Amino acid sequence: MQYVEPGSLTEALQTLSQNGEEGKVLAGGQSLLLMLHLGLVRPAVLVSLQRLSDLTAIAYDPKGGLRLGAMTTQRAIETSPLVRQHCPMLARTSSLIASVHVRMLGTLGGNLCHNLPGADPPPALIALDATVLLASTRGVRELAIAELFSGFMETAVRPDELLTEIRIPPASLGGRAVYLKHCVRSVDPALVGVAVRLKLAGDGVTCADLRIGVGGVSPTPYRAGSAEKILRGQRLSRDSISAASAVAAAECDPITDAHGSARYRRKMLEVFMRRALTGGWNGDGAAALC
Amino acid sequence: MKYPVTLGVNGESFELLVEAHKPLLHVLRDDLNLTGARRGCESGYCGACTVLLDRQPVHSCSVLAVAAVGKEITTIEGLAVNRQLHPLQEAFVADGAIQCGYCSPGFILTAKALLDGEPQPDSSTVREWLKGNICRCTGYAKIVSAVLNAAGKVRAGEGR
Repeated sequence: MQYVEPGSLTEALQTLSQNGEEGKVLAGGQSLLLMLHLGLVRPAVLVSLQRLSDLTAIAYDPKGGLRLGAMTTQRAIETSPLVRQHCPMLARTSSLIASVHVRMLGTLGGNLCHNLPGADPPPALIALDATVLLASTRGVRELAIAELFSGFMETAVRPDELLTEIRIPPASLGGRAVYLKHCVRSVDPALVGVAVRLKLAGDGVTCADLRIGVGGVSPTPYRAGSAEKILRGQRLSRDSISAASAVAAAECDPITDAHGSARYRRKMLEVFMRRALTGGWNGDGAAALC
Repeated sequence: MKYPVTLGVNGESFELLVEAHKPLLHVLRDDLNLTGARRGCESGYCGACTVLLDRQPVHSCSVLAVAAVGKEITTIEGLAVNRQLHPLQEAFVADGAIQCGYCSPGFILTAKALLDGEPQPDSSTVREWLKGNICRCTGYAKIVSAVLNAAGKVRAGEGR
């Protein structure tokens, strides 16, 4: 196996373009190196991004919203004053990933591109209506985050593409947002991860709009559209929240693995969706913690 | 493919030829004989292989040696100075936070990174940082109290 460290984005894209399926991008390595050691992936060329310091920027402006370079570490997101100020739910989500050790090196872009079941950022970013930039020598395309996750550990990123940036639009910032994670040990991936962002109407009880992202439950993270539909434009109440949570549980496609059975995941999705929605409704994400 | 690399470990510089896929853990243990970095789960959970990379704790099983060029690597062997133990090492001994000792280097290095950045952590912060290290002998109460006691000593100027 060859190891290369391109010094610029252009060089990185050319390297990826030349190597096609044989090349594999190495970001923080916290998922990829494990897979490499287990022999699950055998790339001919490992393309490290660690010299691309431009990809570690975190920026905010009122028009563009929050922009995170793909090589931003989870620890940097968790501790960033900008993220904490404008999108505390994302900072909190990052703080729940594995351990400090993993967060020191693990990156947001790497996390998204692996799409491992139980990853925390995907449901949070789905609820935040984020987009990602995918660059290649052919150009740059912007993709809605939910479209990035195409299947079990699969994404829409093509072999010659590099995920360079994650964007959270201004409309998603500053509202009520909650991410709840259910796992056996706190360093584990989520058995159930539910992210909710909602806007209340002027009356304080009607749900003007909401987005729900779910991770950990099914083969791939997804937007819980049916549950959203039940609540959008309706008065929030214990009953309506319970009804939406029940629909989400009925419609999910849960997996069984070493962390939990499909049946357990379905039950816990209902519980955690109810708690996350209630937390969003009360405007108190922390209080909704189990 | 093998690459010539220069690794900075515990203040010394080492020139080595390493394969691209080799984790830093294996290079430290097999090539540099720094066996304080322990082989545990080798999947980024147990923390036995913890070293400091630019003063931050990482699992050395999950870092490529070729990617550690230009970074400051600290292993447990680099903590004592002139045979004088680091206050954290002394506290682990004094408080009985060691049994078999397999996990101790990882715990001590993680705690060092914490105390270097935050000299007065509370117990929940200590626990949060130590989540990436697993001990199968003592439980965690003595380990947490050793870290808090060491923090007190470092503050009082008894240690470095």
